[in-house]
Amino acid sequence: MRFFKWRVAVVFFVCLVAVLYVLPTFVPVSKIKPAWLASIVPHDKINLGLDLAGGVHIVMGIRKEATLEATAQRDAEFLQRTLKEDLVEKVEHIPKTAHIRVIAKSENQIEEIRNQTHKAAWYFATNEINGKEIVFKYTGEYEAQVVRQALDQTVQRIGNRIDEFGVAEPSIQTQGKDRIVIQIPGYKDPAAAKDIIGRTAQLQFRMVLGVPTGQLTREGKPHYDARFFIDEKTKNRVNLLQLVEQTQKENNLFFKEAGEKDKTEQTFSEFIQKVNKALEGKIPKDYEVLFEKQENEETGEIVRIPYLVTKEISLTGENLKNAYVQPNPQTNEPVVGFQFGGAGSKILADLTRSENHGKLMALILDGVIKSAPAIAASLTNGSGIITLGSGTYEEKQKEAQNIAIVLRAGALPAPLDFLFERTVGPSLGRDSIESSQKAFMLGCLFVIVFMLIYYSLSGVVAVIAVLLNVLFILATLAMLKATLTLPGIAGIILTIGMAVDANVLVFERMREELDTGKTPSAVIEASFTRAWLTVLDSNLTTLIPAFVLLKYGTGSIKGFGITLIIGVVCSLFTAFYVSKLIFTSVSKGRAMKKLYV
Amino acid sequence: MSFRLIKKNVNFDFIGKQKIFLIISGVFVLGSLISIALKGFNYGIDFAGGIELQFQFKEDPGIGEVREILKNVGFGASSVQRFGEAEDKEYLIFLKAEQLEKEHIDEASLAAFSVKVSDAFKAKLGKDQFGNEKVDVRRVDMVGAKVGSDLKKSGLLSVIFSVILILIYIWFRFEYKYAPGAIIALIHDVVITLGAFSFLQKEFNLTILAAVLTIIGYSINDTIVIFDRVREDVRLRGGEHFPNLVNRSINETLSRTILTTLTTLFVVVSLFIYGQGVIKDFAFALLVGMVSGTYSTVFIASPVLLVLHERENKKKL
Repeated sequence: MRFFKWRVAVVFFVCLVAVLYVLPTFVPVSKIKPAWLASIVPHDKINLGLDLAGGVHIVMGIRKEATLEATAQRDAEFLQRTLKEDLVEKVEHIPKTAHIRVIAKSENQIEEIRNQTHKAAWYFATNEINGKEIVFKYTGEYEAQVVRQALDQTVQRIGNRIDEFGVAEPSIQTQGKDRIVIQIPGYKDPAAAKDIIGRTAQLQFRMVLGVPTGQLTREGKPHYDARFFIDEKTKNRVNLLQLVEQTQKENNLFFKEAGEKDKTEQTFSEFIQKVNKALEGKIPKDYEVLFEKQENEETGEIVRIPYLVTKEISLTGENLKNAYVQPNPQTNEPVVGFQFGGAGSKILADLTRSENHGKLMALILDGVIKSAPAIAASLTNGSGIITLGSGTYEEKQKEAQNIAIVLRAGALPAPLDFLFERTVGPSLGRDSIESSQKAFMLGCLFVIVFMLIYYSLSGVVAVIAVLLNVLFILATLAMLKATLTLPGIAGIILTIGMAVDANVLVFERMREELDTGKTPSAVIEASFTRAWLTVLDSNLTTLIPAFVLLKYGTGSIKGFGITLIIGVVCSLFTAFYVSKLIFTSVSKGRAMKKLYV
Repeated sequence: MSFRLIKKNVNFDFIGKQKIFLIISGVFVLGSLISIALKGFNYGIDFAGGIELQFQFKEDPGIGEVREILKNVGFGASSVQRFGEAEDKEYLIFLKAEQLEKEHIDEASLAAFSVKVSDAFKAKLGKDQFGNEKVDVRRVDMVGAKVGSDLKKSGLLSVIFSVILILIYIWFRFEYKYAPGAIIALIHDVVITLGAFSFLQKEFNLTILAAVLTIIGYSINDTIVIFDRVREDVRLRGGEHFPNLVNRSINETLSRTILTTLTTLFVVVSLFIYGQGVIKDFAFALLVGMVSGTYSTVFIASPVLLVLHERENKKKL
């Protein structure tokens, strides 16, 4: 065997790396000694799936028909405003559909109505024309877009609320075109989780306190800087962030971010209440501190930036009719357009009166500041735009989308169905781990004893290969940050049985080859070479259903597919690299007289 | 000192007795199909849709009391079962989609079901002297009817997909005549496993589907090992009468077939003994599938290969 020493080195290296990767799963990094070892150990642990760690897994679906119907209702109002009055008798939304019926004053105006409608909104298609009536429907592309929007705003709303609880690494993902998957591992209160998910979000607009920067806007109004405020008594300029941080330190008020160790078990709103209590007297009495959450995209570090906002809620999302991304008519850059109706448009006009120009207004979703644009113009008819600051076109587009989603999340609740729920109590998870450990031990013991009796010394090699196999599977799981589920454990246990198969094939070959009277080292070489193709074939066919499981499986079943795939690959390595190496090294050391198999 | 399970140069006449084995297989497959057709499957809520709750009590309230409490909160239609051993004091409460329809319970109120029921238990049973609840919600599973039928569809697709991919693989790696035998053996194992679940009315859920897919991957292993050997023997002694050659190949690999099946069965049995709930059923499915898989390799895959080989020869003449 060529490169023998290198091969030995590879095996030792792989084993070393595997041990390092597995270590943190069994021993907390803080307890690993000596210190130098703790410093080189990777911090990735094997994540336990919901079925082992306990937690909540919920799948929700957007009700497509209801969402489209609500959109059509709004668009009927929009068409009513847009189409010239002398053309149209009536614009109405047809109930239980996403269709809008326009009745023209006379039959020959239909074509004109059609043109105007398509000019105003690309997403309408003509459904049917019947005398003075024309019925519009949405294009398929737009329907998909509406559902997507509903999906995004729901993810935003739920993400915002779940954050509030600071539970360990909640995950909120979209699945397919119209589904949302929420996983909260280790969460003990499923009722509260469902409540959060089902509740409508509260959108508020509040004025932000700041100091004039000295620079002026185009119309000669001052720019405001929300990082500072003027203390009422001392008339001093105070740095808000420093004040808040100092107060937090003095009163020992900290909020655990998601994934951090839970010490206080407080919700984010409780935390904000405490902070404001501690700040009493230090900030103007009609104001309170709320935070904007910013996440560093590279490090994932979460920073919370304080703002002083009025306690009075100026405007709520209740009167918000619509919010969307549109191009700025003047610059063609993406901006957020919005439309208030009813009492909302009057309040908006009052808030944007000229003395407020340059001041900031905070958009607050469920107690978290999402954006704080400056007021630039008086908005008298209820509609307006939010322009974005600096940045490239793409950045502005993304930011505009985010703000539009926040506005919609607070104003246009998307109708949802609970499609799937799996809640596993922590006690069941513990029992499952315990019983699978027992099954694992028993299975291992069976296999080890059997192999040792049946193949004597060669059996030792098989046992080493099988144990290394388990080590490598666990290490790979940790390395890939894969999730270990209950069926996943079953998969590992199953792989023990299958890993033996590769060894059995080789050993049976050895016995046959021995009968032909070859020398031990020739037998070893021939057996591994001949068995290799067979083992490869049989392992590859095991991989086929495993990959299918990965593709079609959900949750814990996917975990099974992953462990099966890792198991098959690892067993190929242990059987044909490690086992072979052991055999060769033994037969190489001294002239081997007999092969014990 | 090592020993052998199968003696050297053993030569059982598997091929000569293939008729008996084909009849045995035929009976099992037919029985399975009849059971599936008549009794159908006891689908778990993964596939059937509905809700399933698992509760553990500190003191066993008895099944009647559990039913009574359920009735009081308007879910008297739910089925109640003991789970595990009596000393576990665990109960399963479930409502399948079809019962929901009958009782006119909509899916929206189902979402609140688990909370309502556990609140009712907590209120009725009270707390122990340490202030802990006397009931522990172990698990809640709720699957909408739509999701259930989606899962059923994608589950069926995944089985078909796997079989087709394996067929292509074998066709590609071996000759055409090897593929049908392997696939018929595979289908044989899947049908018998499904038949066992239908006959015993064991719950058929996603985990069992995973087991079926595992059986597909596992059962083909045995077949490939034997076919590999047939192919090798064809190269070494091509002149030999083909049925004899196949019989020889089966015998040569017999000890491997038995050994591997035994070691894998060891671990599956230990899973069956210590596993709980879904894992126990998972292990059961594997047990049935593996025994059937080993059997079908020897007694199904090889005879089919022989038939196809003969047909190929006739064509040549």
